[in-house]
Amino acid sequence: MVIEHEVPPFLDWFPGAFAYWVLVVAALIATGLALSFLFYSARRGPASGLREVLQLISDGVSDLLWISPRRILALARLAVQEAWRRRVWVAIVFFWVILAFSAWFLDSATTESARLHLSFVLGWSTFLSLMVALFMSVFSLPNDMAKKTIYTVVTKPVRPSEIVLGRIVGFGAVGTGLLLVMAATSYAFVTLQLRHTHKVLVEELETPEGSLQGGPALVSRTSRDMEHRHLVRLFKDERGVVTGGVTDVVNGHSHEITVETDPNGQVRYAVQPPHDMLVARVPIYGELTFRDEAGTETDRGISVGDEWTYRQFIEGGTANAALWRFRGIDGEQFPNGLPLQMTFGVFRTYKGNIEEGIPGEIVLRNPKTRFSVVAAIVRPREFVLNTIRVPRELVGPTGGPVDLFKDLVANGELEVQVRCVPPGQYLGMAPADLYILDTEASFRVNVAKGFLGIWLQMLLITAIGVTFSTFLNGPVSLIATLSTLVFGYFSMNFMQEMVQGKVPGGGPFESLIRMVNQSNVMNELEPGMYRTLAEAGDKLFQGVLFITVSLLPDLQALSDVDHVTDGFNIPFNNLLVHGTMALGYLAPLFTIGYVILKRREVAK
Amino acid sequence: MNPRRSFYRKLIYLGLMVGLLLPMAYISRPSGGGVGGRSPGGILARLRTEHGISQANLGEIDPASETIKLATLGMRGVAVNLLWERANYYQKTKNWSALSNTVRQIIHLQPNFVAVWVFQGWNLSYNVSAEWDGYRDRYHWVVEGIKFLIEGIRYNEDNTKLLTDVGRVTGHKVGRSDERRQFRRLFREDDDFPENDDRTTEERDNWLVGREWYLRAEQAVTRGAPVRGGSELMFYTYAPLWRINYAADLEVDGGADGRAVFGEIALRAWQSALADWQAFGRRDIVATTGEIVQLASVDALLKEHDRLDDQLEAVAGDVHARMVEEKRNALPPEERELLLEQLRDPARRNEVNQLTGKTYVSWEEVVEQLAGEKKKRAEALSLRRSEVADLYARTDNYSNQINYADWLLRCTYESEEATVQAREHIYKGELALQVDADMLAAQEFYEKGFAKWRLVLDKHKELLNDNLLLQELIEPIHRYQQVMVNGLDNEFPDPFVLQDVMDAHARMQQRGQRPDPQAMPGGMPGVASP
Repeated sequence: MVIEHEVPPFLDWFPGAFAYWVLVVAALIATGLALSFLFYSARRGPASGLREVLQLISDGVSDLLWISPRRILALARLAVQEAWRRRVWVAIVFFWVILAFSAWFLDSATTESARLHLSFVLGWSTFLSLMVALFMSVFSLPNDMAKKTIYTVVTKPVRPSEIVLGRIVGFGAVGTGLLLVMAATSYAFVTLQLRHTHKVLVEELETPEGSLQGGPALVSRTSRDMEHRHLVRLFKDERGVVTGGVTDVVNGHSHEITVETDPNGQVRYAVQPPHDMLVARVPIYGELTFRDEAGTETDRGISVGDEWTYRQFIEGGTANAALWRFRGIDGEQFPNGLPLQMTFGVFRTYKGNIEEGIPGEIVLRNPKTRFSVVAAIVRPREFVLNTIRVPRELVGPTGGPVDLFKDLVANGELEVQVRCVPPGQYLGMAPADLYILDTEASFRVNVAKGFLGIWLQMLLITAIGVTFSTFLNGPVSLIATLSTLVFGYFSMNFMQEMVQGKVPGGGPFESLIRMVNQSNVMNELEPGMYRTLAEAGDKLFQGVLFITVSLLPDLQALSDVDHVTDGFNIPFNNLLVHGTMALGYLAPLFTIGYVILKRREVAK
Repeated sequence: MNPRRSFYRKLIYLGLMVGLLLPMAYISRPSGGGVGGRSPGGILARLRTEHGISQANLGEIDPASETIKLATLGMRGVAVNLLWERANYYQKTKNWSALSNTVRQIIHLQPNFVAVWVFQGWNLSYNVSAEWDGYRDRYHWVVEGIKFLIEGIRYNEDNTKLLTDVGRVTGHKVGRSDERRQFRRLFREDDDFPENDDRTTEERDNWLVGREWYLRAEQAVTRGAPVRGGSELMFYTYAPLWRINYAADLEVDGGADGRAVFGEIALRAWQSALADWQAFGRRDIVATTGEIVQLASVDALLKEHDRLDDQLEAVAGDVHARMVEEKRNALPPEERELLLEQLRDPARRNEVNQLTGKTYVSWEEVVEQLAGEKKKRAEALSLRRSEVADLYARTDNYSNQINYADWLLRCTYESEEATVQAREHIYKGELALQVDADMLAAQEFYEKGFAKWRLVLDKHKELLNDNLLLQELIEPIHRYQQVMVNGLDNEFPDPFVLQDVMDAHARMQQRGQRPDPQAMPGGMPGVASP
């Protein structure tokens, strides 16, 4: 799995993030109070202004402290009824229709059908839930105010904080209900769609050439189903009886083959349901460093000129190596040996033998004693997950037996080194490209965790929509919330790069000059007044963008759907960090909505 | 405002709307339906049908495509831009399944934008396939690109660019890439390649399948489709050229077991290739100037040109020679001396240079000097000669563009039994040497092969000017040399049966003329080696 931005451990992340959050919230509060003071001072004088501000603070504390869960729930129930009246359940019907016609849109010949189907359902669930949240939240309060039905609420002993929170909770509950239905439907859809089997083509059964002991006794192919077929390998026991078999891995999965004898004594080969298609791997990741040609440890490997620098490379036939350090390895966890999974890049400077892959050496090393053993030679297939199981008993350099956990693991730490064998060839790797497969978690639970990320996004959009609707009318709230959604979902990376000055061609003013002049982004602009003005304007824009990026939520970061589609378990740490991030936005949004609604003269 | 006036105004507006509705309904009425048969529809529908640009004329109508287009709510262009940006991102980050899915979404939005199909088909077959290390994975993506192009044809029937692209990629990418041995083998074994189920093992050659697609493109042109993506000359060249490549590669690895095929099968293949090439030579090809050329008519045009020259000489008498002499005499003395020197040397007589230009006398100038009946006749002959000269120049130019004569010669000598046998013996010699390490058997086969080549070269003496053939023959000759001298401790035969080949190759190297494998369309023909 490609992990370009790792989620840091919660305990490492929280202090810094919390401090930053406090700073931003404090700045917002200070700005709000200062603006309020100026506003009221301008109307009634500074003394009056100060009094109003103090009153605001006092009311605010009181409203927040004496908030009533009962009233919130009552308002939430009203919000749910309102959403139901507006036929929000149509989104579910639409979702079912999309699934029913999914065959139109899904490429049946894809090599990654599990990923495709999961992306499809998670993508549509995200889209529909966010759209529903958006439309529900932005029109509710403005409609109430326009139709004056808000009076039926504000004339009761209800605090503005409860009105805002009640709507957020209510619409959040509606969105949660929708997501629960979508999650269940998606799970059923994916498991049913991907369930398939094949028939073994008995007429093509033959003994493979040069078959070795322990190798397959018979080979054949399966029928073509779901746009693919497998090669079949059947094995015999000592008596020469076929006991079963296995297929090769195609489209990310394989099948087991069992042998059945029917009442007539005919032997039938039954292909079992797919294996490794819907999984939730729990990896143990290590820290990656590289060793250069002099044997010195560095952070970076070799670049082979690829535009995407996610993977760094090691050169074959040299001292270059990639080194992973694992911690927390316990022999009892792995009674059958150490399962390593890897996805490496390959770069050839000469063709060589194209019928064979580039061999890489996997060396296990004791970090304390530096004792190392070559565990395996692999020929990794590019862009595909390669698996090896390192046995517990290994053969040492002098031919003696080596116990993996006793001799190579020290205090739970183990080093795994990868070296490329042939000179002039390269293997590429990133930190997440090699890991120890700890176990496989429940796929069902993993899907649920994936939907939890979508739920956080939905909740955030609801809160943003309700907040905007406290001071904007419906259509304007819609545009504002939609813009937040679009920027927060699609453009965050780009905006962050703009703030850091990584985008070639400058900001909007410089880009305008380049567009008019038709000059490309790599050339320097000619010095002069226009360039100076443009650069000044862009600096200002960068400042504004910095504030925007700091305030806008990165919606995509809240979601872990790529873990689900790639077949990896979503760690609890991710949920904790994302949940905390969402809470970090929800609290200020609620507060801003409350303050605006309180100051607004609703009962005019 | 008076409510009555407002009401009247509304009535007028309504009347205008209804009034406009009638001509609009007439103009925009869709085709299809109607009592008793298919209705041609309104003016727009008829114009669309006439010019072949209605959705149904272009190809299949895909409900998924129509749905997605509607779902963009008029912002199809924006959606497509975003999708292209995503596709580029996925290609950069090597996320192949996401790339494939995004490309499918793009084509759902723009099924009739042929450039998308062409670009992405090429992208998958050439760029994405090259990113993978394993040759099986590369083959998979080459075929994905071909299947993508074939799918594009469903939506854009009779689009000759797509049809020829399928032919080109199937031939060129499968048959000429570095992995061609592996790709050709996988192609033969690929039951899942489109329509391979209906083909015999022999027919499952990538060149033959590619040729099939070129022929479909030609049929589309017969039905009225325009030639797209190149000139007519190149359009019609590839089908017969792919047949030649099939025959050539048959003698390299064309067998089901990946070994070379000779004998009757190879002979028939070459004879078919010769027939195809000759038929292509007789085809009328519309040149870019509008003239019709036939590549096989080059020699006939030259003969006609020479005949007209002779006739003009006969009519003009010695006028031409006199005028040439006058121009020579008008040259400065040093130039005249130089010219005479050139004319005295037979090897330099036909040299074209500045002096030739100064003393050149055109037939038009000669005609001016004539009078009466002679002038009339000479004028007519001169005009005809100009036409023939222009046509010859155009035909010769076109012929040279695709090396028509060279390929014709190749097909001619390859389709003879002696050549097939020569290749077979050399192939067996190489196998004996490189696989079995049997020097004696290698010697025997090499000598048989060289003897057969001797017969071929004696019949086609012009082959000694074929640099590619010289390069091809010199390699087994050198290996034979190694076998005789180093392996068997014998002397290299003197005179050697193909000594003229060795001499010609040496001259070629001296001149620095290395044969360019990419010189001919389709690349270098298959070289017989195990």
